[in-house]
Amino acid sequence: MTEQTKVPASAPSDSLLRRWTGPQTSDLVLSPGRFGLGRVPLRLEPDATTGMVCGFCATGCGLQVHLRDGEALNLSGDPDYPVNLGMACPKGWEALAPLRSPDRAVTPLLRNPATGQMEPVSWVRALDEFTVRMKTVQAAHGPHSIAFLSTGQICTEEMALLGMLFKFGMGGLHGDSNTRQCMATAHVAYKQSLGFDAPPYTYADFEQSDVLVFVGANPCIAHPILWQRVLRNPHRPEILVLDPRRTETAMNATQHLALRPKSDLTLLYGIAAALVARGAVDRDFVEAYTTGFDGFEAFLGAFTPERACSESGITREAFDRAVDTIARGRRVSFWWTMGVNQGHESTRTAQALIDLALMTGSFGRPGTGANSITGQCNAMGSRLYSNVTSLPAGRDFRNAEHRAEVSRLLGIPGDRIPDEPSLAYDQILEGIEKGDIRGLWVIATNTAHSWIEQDRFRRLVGKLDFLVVQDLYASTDTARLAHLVLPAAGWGEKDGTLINSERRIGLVKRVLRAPGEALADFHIFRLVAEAWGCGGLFREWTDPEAAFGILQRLSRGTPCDIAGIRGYRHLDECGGIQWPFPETAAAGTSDPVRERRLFEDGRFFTPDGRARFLYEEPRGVPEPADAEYPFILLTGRGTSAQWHTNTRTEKSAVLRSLYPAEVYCEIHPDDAARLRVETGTRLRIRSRRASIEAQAFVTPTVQPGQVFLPMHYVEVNRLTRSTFDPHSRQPSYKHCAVHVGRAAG
Amino acid sequence: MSPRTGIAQLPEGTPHGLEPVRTLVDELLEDQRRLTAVERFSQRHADARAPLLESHYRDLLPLSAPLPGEQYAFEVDLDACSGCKGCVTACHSMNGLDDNETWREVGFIVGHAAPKPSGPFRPSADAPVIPLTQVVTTACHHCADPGCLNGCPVLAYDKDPATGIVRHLDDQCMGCSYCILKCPYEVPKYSKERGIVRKCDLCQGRLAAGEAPACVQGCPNEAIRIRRVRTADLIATHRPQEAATANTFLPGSPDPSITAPSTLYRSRHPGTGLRPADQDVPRLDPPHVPLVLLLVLSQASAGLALALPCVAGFAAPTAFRVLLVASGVLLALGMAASVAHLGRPTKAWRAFLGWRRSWLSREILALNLFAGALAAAAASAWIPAFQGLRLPLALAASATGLFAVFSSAMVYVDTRRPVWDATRTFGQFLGTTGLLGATLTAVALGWTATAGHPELLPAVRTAAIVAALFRTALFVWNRVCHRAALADRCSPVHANARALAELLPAVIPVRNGLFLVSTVAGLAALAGPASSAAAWAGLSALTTVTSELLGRIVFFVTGTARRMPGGIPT
Repeated sequence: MTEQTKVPASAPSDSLLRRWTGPQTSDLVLSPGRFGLGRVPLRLEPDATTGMVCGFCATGCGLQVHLRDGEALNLSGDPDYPVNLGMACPKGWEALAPLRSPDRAVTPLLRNPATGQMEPVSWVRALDEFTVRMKTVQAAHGPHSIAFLSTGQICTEEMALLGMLFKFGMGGLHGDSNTRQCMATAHVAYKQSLGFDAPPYTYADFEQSDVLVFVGANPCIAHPILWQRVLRNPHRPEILVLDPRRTETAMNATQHLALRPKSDLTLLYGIAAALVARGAVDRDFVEAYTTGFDGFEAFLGAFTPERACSESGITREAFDRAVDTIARGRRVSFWWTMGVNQGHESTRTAQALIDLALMTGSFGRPGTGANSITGQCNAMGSRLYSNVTSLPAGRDFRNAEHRAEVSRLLGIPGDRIPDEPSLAYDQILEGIEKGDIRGLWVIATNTAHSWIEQDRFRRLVGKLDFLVVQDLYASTDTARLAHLVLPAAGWGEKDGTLINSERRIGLVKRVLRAPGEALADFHIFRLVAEAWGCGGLFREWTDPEAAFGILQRLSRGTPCDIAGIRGYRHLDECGGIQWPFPETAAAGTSDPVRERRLFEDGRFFTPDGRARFLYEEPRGVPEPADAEYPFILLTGRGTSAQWHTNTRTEKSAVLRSLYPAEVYCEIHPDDAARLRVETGTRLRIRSRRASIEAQAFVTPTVQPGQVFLPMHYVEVNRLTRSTFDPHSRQPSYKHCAVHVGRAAG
Repeated sequence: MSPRTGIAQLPEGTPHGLEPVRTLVDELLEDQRRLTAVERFSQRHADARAPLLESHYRDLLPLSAPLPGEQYAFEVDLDACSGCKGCVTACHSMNGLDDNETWREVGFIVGHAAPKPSGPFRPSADAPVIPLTQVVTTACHHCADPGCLNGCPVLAYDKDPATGIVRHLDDQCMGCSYCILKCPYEVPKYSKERGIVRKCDLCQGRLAAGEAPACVQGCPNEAIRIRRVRTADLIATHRPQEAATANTFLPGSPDPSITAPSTLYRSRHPGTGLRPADQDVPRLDPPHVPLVLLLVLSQASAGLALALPCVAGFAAPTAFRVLLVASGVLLALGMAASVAHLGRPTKAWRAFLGWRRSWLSREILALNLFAGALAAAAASAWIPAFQGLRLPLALAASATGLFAVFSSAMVYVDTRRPVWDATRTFGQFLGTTGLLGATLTAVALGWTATAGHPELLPAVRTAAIVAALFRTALFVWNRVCHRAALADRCSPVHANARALAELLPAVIPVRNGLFLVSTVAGLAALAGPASSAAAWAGLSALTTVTSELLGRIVFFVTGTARRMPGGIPT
C-alpha cells in the first residue's frame, strides 16, 4: 500500500456513555514493531529477537523468537530462513506453549515400591538409583541386558553423547530410537542404493520440477511449509499423488492414483516397465552412473500394465497418463513419506522410487531426485550420529578400520567400541519379552502410545526390572509406567543442532528457563556419565557446542563432512548449513550456497561410485482383509496441529481447538450406509489384537472397504499388527485387517 | 509393575562417591538458568525498520484504501488453502490473544464435486466427479448489516465508516453475550476471565499502517487476501431470494441474507454436493441458567399481572395485593437472576443505549417499565388516595407485562434461528405466561381464600381450569412439534429435535411425568376434599413450575442453529 492509502482507524473520544478505551482495549493494542516484525502486541513487545530452528518436524523451519530480557515472549516465522521464508505451521507458532505447561516434570520422580506412587527425589538420589539399578541388572544378566530407546526429537549433540555414553561408557550394546518408526526405511534404502544415507535434494527442487510424484505423502497436512514451496513452483507442474486416500495433497494434485493399500511396489514396477517399453529410459545416465540396470530391466518383464492396474485398482487410462507424464517430464522428482516407509516391503518400495529416478536420469539436476521427506526434526541427526546402527558419520561397527578411526578421533579405548550394531527397536522389545533385556531407558519418546500392537508393549513392560523415562512430562503414557522419571528440558530450553530433511543443520537455542530442576538431555547424559563412573571418557563434551566440534571432527572425510562449519554462530548467520560442508568448500568462500543438492557430478557414495538398482518380487500383505475382518485399516497423520503422540501438542489450548478431542474413524458413505452409521455414530473397531471405539466420520475421501484412524490417539496402535520390513525393521502401520460395526449401546 | 530387584542387597549410596556428582548437578542446574542467546548471537534484524514479510503480502492487499461506500473484506481462495490452520495460530500469536482464545476457526465441507478448469494447477481429468474435502477458514465477516452490532444493547459495536471494519469496544461491553446469538456465524467469543466478548477487528491497526492482517501474513499459501468491496453490493448479492437459490456465500452456511457477510469464498468447485463436516450432527448449547430464571419468572410475573384487572374490582383489596406482591417478587427475582448472566454487570446501566435496534435493549426497558407499572399498581393497592386508579393501573401492569414477554420473545426471534422462529418462541413464552399466571393465581387466591376470603373460591376455580387448559394445550403442541421435526429430515429444526431425543433422552419422559402429576394434582385440588386441596394445588404448582424451568433450559440447550462449517464432531 502507498502512504495515501493508509486509513487511520477513527477513534472517537471517550464519553460517559461510550467507552472507546480502557484496560480491556489496551490489552489488544499493537506497537509498531522493531526487528522487521511489523506490528506486535504491545504487551508482548520484544527488546531483541533471535532465530532458531523449529523442534517438531523435519521440515526444519526457522522461527524468529521474540525476546525480552533474554527470555522468549512470543515467536513468528523467520523471514530470512531459506526453508520457510517467514511462514510457520500451527505447531511452530505454538512451539512455546508446551514448555509453559503446568504439568512439566520439575524434579526426578522415583516410584515408591511400597505405595506404588511416584515420589519426588533429588537428582543425586535419582542418579544413584539409576546407576545402582542398571548396574545390578548388568551384574545379574550381562552387560547387554540394558537398552535404551531414544528419539529423533533431541539435538544431535545429545543423541551422540547418549550413544557414546551408553555403548562406550556403560558397556551397553542395544539402543534404538523412534526414528525406526519413521526413517529407518529411507536410511537403509539410500545406503544400499546410493552407498550412503544421503537424501539428495534441497527444497528448491519443489519449485524447479515440472513433474512431482508424491508417494504415500501428504505434505499439505504433514509438512505444510513444504507444500508452500510446491505452490511457489512457477512451471505449472504436473503433480501426481499415489495414495489410497484422497488426502488434502491428492485434492491439490493434477493426477491422483488412488491405489489399493500396499499395492505401491507393484504399481511402481509397472510404471518402470512401461517407461522401459516406451523408451523413456535415460540410457546415457544409466550407463555412466549406475549399475545393475540390465537385471532390473529383465525383472520388470513380469510387470505388465495389466498386472499393475489390476493389482493396484488403477484404471488403465490413469496409469497411461501417469506414465506419459513421467516420460515427458524434464525435471521429475519423486517424493515419499510414511506411506512408503511404514510398509511390509518398504525398503524395496523406496528403492523402486530410487530406481525410477535413476532410470530416468532424475538425479543431480534441479527439480529431480528420489527424495525422502523425513518425519522428525532430527531424524537425520539420529541417522548420522546416534551411534546405534552405525558408528558416527555413517561408519560401520563391523569395520575394524572404522572402529579404530572412531577410537582415535574420540580418544576412546578401542576395546570399548562394540564390533556389532544394536538390535533394532522390535528386537529390543523381543529381548525384553524373552527376559534377555531387563533394564530400559526411554528418552523423549512415548513407546506405550506409538509402538505398533501397543498392548504387547504394555504387557512386556511388566517384565522389566527397571524402566527409566526421560521426558518433559511425567504424564506421558510411557512415563506413567516408569520406575524412575528424569525431568528433561525441552526444545527452546537448551542449545544444540537439528538436521532437517534437506540435510540442513539448524540451531536450537536456550530462550526459556526450564521449570524446576529439569535439565537439558545433554546435561543429564553428562550426569549419568559422572555417576556411572565413566565421566573421564567424556571430559571433552563440556557443552553442546564443544560436542558439535567433536562431531565435525568425526565427519571429516565422510560424505557428511561438516568440518567447514565455523561453530554455532556460523550456522546462525547462514540460516543453517546443509551437509556436506567440508573445510575445502569453506576455504575461500565465506558462506555456503543457501540451497545445495547432491550428486551433481553423477558420483554416488558406493565404492565404485555407481548407484545400484535394487528390487525384489513384491510379497502379499501379511494380513489381508477377510470375511471376519473385512476392512483394511489405514493410519496416519490427522491434522497439522497434532504431532505424533500428542505429548506436546495437547498442551496448547489453541492447538487443541484445531483437532477433534476424541479419536474418529473415516469411513466411506457406502460402507456407512451398509452399517447404518452416520457421522457422529460410535463405532467399534476390532482387529485380531484389540478392540476400540471411535466416532464415525463419513467421507468419500477414503475408499470403500477401508477405514482411516489418525495415529495421534492412544488407542489406535492397539489395533495395528507387528509387521516389519525385513531390511529396515520399520513397522508397517499402514495396513491391517479390522472389523467395523456400531458400538453397543 | 515389577518389584525392585537387586537394589535391596546393595547398601544405600553408590560406592564411587557422590560428591563429584553433587557438584556437577549444582553446576548444571545453575547453567540451565542462564539465557545467553542475545549475547552469543548477532542481532540480524536489530535495525530493520520495515516489516520483513512485506514482500510476501504486498500483493494480498488492495492498492488503495476503501472509497466512500466501500469497505475492507476478506477473500479466501479455498483451492489454495491446504488446511494447515496456520492462520488460526498466526492470528492468536500476532494479536496476543488469551491462551484459549481464537478469532479464526477452521472447519471443512465434504462431498463430491465436479472440478472447473482453473485454480493453481490443472485439475484431474480422469474423474468427472471427485470426492472432496474443502477446508474453510473463517473469522469475522465484517458484515454489511452486522447482527452483533444490531443486537448489542450497550452499543459496544461500531462499523467504522471509513473501512467498514466491525469493531468491538471491549471496555463498553457488559458481557451479555447476546451478540453471539445474533451473529449467525457465532463469531464473538466470550471470555469468562475477562467477562466480555472479543472478536476479530481485521487487524485494523495493521491495515492502517499498510501491514497485512495476521492471518494474511501467516498463510503459507497466500489463500487469504484483503479486498475492497462496495457495502451496498454485499446487501444485493445476499438478497434473500438470491441466497435461497444460489450459493452466494458457502455451501451449508447460515443464511447470508441475514447480515450480508463481506467475506468472499472462491473455489473452482461449485457448491452443490458439498456439506459441512458437522452438518446435522446433534449438539447442545449452554443452558444459560440465569436467563432461564429471568424468562420463567418474568413470564410468571406477567401472567399474574394479567389476573390483576380481574381482581381489581373486588371489595377487599387482599386478592389484588396478594397477586401484586407475588408478581412483583417473581419479577424482582427474575431480574436479579439475570444479572448473574452478565460478565460485567457494573456496565449494565448503559443497556438502554441500543433501544433503536436491539430487542435486548427493549426487553430490558420493557421489564423496567413493567416493574414501574407494578409499583404504581402497588400504590393504588396500599395508598387510599390512589384507590380509584386501581383498575387502570392494573391494566397498565398487564399491558406492560405482556409487552415485556413480547420483547423477551423478540430477543430470540430476532436471532433468526429457525428453532426460535416467531411461532415457536411466542408459543412457548405466551404459553408459559398463561400457564404459570393461571397456576400461581389459583395458588395465591386459594391461599387467600382459606385465610378468610371464601368469596374468592370461584375465581380460584376459574384460574385452575385456565391453568389446566394452558397446560394441556402447551403439552400437546410441544409434543406435536417435536415429533414432526424428528420425523422430517428436511425440517430446519430436525437437528434440534434430534439433539433433544438423542443427547437428552431423559427430558421428554421427565416432562411427561411432570405433566401427568401436575394435571392429576390439579384435578385433585379442584374435585377432592377441601382439606387436602392446598396440598394438591401446591404439588400441581410445583411440578408445573419445574416443567416450565426444564422447558426453558431445553429452549436454550437445543437452540442451536447452522453455523460456519466445523471440524469432525466428537
